[in-house]
Amino acid sequence: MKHCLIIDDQDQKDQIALLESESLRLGFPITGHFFNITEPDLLYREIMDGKPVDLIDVDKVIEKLKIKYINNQFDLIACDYQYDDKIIDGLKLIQFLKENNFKGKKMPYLIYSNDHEEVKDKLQGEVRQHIDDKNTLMTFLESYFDSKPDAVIERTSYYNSIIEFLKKNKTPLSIKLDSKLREYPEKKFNNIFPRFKDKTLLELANMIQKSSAESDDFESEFLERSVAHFIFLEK
Amino acid sequence: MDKIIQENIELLRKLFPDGVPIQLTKTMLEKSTIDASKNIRDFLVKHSLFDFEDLAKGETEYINCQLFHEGSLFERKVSLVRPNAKPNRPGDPRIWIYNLNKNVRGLDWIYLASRDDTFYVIPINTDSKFKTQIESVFGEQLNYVVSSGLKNLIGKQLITDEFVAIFELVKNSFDAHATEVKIIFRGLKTQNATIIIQDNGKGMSFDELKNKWLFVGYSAKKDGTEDNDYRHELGVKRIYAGAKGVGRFSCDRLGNKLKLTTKKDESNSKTEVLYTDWESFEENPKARFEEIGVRHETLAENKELFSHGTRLEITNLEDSVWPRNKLLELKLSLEKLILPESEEEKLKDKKRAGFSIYIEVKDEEAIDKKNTDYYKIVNGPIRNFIFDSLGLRTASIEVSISEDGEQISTILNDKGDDIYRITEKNKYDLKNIRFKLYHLNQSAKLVFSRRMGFPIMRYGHVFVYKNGFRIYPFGDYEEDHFAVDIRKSHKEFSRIGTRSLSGKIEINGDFENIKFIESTSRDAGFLENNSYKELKNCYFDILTRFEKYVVEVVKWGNKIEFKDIEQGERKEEILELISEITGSDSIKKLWYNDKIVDILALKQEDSANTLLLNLQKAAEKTGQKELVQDINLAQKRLFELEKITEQAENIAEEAKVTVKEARQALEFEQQKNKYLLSTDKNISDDVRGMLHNFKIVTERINANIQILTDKVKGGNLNNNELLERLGTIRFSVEKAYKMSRLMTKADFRSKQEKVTIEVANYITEYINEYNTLFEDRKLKFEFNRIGAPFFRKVSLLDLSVIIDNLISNSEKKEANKIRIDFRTKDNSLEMIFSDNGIGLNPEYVQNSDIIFDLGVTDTDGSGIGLNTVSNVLKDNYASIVFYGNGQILKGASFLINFK
Repeated sequence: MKHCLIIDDQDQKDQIALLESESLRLGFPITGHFFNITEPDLLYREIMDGKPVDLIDVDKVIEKLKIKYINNQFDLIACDYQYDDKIIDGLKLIQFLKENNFKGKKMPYLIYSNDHEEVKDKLQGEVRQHIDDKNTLMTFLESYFDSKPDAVIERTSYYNSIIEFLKKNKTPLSIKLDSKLREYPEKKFNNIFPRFKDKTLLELANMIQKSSAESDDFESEFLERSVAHFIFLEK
Repeated sequence: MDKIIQENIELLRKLFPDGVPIQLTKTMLEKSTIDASKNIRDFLVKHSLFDFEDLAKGETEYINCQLFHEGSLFERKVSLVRPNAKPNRPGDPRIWIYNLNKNVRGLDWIYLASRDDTFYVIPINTDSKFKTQIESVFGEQLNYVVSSGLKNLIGKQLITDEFVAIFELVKNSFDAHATEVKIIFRGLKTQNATIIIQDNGKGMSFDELKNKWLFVGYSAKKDGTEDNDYRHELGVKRIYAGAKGVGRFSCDRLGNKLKLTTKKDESNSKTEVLYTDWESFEENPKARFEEIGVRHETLAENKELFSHGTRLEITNLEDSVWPRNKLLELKLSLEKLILPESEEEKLKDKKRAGFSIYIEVKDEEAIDKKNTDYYKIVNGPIRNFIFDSLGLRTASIEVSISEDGEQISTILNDKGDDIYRITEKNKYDLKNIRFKLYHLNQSAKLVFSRRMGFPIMRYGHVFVYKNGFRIYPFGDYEEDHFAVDIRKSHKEFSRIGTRSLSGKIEINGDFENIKFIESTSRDAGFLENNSYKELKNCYFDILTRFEKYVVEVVKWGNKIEFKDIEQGERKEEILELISEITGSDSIKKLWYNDKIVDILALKQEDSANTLLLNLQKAAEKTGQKELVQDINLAQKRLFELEKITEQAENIAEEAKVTVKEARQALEFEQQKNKYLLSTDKNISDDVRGMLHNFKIVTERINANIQILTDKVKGGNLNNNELLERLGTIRFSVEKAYKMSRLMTKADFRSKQEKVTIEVANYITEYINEYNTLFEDRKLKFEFNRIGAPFFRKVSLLDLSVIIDNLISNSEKKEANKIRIDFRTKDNSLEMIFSDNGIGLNPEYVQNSDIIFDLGVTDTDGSGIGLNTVSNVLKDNYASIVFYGNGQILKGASFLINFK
């Protein structure tokens, strides 16, 4: 079962219903999770050009996402581009989420939009601006790939594009492992991982998300032991 | 530093030379503090924003700034801190802009700037629109400069007709309270031909010459200062003929040089003279308009003028050929310039005091003496031509819309006898307008030609007057701005065209009819706005009514057997008859001629139907069956002919539409490939915004239809889900419809579906301002409000459709009054929506929550409405409950809570 988080400012339950039914029909079940980025507690008020406006507080968004989905891992996060907000759009949100290491550095992101051409133009425009400046180009490109979505898709029936994307792009092993561990958040590995003894699986999952040297060690050990276990079973 | 960032900083330096660029670090953002370095402190002091010297250790002060983001300015608080530090140390000052980390990332640059005592904080980015946005908000203010070439644009190139030019100058005389204006042509056959327009109006002082005549585009008539003198007290308030401030440039159409002499009608006034050489404006198009000088002198006395007034002497005539026939045409045109009124009408209407126009051409006096016919004499006063005075025995219809726009009165007259007079409720959005139309049959046209000496075609047809002055070119020969002849061509046999019409349309009153705007060139009628379209609709309806009498009755004959209607009896039949010939079913007052039956009978005497009817009776008397049969057949054929004619006309009309449609379709097909191959990147943001919102709404509809289809195919659809999804579809359809209705409103064209609004204000405004969207609904609304303003980010469309649904429910409950109470409480808004209808069915009152369930209905509706309303409100973080019957008004009340 795959999991996809959809972040939009308008209810997406219909699209999620279609995503789930269609993916099931194709034998590739995906569960959709919806997060409304404009819940009143996520907004703050400013005076813009003399009039009050409610804007998305991205810090609160990230905080709420972390709390709400503490026990969830996703194979993909899909964001709307247009949030009816003067400051935050889908691209900026993805940048914030990646910078805050939400669900790990390897989490793939999609942006969907009715103006997906406009979004692509914007992204390409940024690249074009730096292309002639060899001094800054490399730095720019590094940060660019770190902060940008993996794909920009047309909004209409975007659930089909999500299915396609997940079929085509394998979920990284670390995410799968993270997701599995979160299914048993309070449990602990008692006698297998002495280094990580007394840590709950949730803590281990969070460690994996941080993509540190420690998490790398954990993943390597986990794989080693798993392979050894399967060989042992066969025997 | 990134090259683009550098360029942007350079741009900001040009705009704000004293500004300070700062590169933010991650630490600054994490700790929400920026060290107030010397640069920053000096900047704050220099612009009198703040001085850290005044701040003691451990203290914090606050000021405001405007933070720039994507072309908008956000008001932000700025804290200035001198933290506690060790003794003998001052404490390093710090500054922080609230919520700055929402706009910037680590290593971003910001620019501190100040202008006009405002502190600006400008985060710098590499977005391609940054420069344009900065320029638009902070850029140098530029001004339009006008080339001297403007003279041509508003002079001879705008006023392209010499007659129109003269009319404009005559109108100016009228507006100057002149009772007399002379149009004098001198030396037309010489090199020194001159046109003089001289009036006895109020004239101008030097100041007025400078501040009104020389102030192009300014019209004191428009801003109400034209008669800021004793005339106000006289009580005879003038309606102005002209009001755009460009009429004076009509002189340029007539000649290259102008000598203006004017003397104000007050004691000790001096004679001011202004010399304008229009050609000097044409010498150098790069010269500025206001730099072209005009010579002025003040005379102690003048001998040529009246004691007061203005004289325009135009020489170097553009077209120095003014032959006799052109002068006679001018005279004829001038006759139509001013609304023809009888002496009686003039007395009734004091707004237009007497005004006379004279033509003087001494060179033509000799030929004039040989003629007696007014229309063949050039010199003399322009007479006030009244069509009625011709004594043509013809049918006419007079329609008057009252000053307050409440009523419309119609009088049908035939050969001097009023046939009927009716008063109805006015359904047009028009006020203070009068129509007088004459139907000219062949004999009337002949009589006109004999009496006037020229055919009526040359005279014109239906003229339009606004405040007593003619609006060109309505009514001119071969002119058909109203498309009356096109209308006739669709039903050739049953409609009147311009060749059979004469008359006038009077539009009166500056304020009531301010929306009728004459084109600036003065020869292209009115600007085509809603008022003009409404006038046209009214005119066509009047023509239709007129045609019922002059065409239908006369040609085909009326269907009522007149012998059955006795005078004084059978009033109902007469009323029915009148209803038929007026086409009206909402007559408030009616008078009809006692002899109406006889009149109508006489009118249709020669009609085909009557003829056959008479023949039939005669044949029956003879007892000759074949004859009776033949006549019956003839009657049938006549009936068929009537029908066929009507059908033929309808088909012709449809065919034209079809042809038109086909042409459009063909053109579209030809364009389609081109369209498909290219993307229009030039569509406006507004259109993009609307398209975006439409797509979202239609997506929702499609998604729900898809789900329902899948579930039906899978055999796993339950009633509840069906109802719920149908409710969603219906709501989305209503939203799309609402979008199309509100397309012209700026709020709704924005790309943003959700907007922060003051909820009570928005709902009140929506209901009041867009009341027209409710069309025929006769609901009264009342609003009450307690508490502070309540702002929320909501979907405007959702809210609008919800309001519509609630109102619709009230109507179903026979309410004619709705009251909405707003109450702010504990950071939420309560809105109580009440009506005076029959209330919620008592069956549901105890357990009212179920009315929000699917399938439950208290009206004859489908039961989807309140459920959808409840769901949509939930999406907008609001809720709805039933508040009770008779709580506010006698009907039901619902409480909507916005959290």
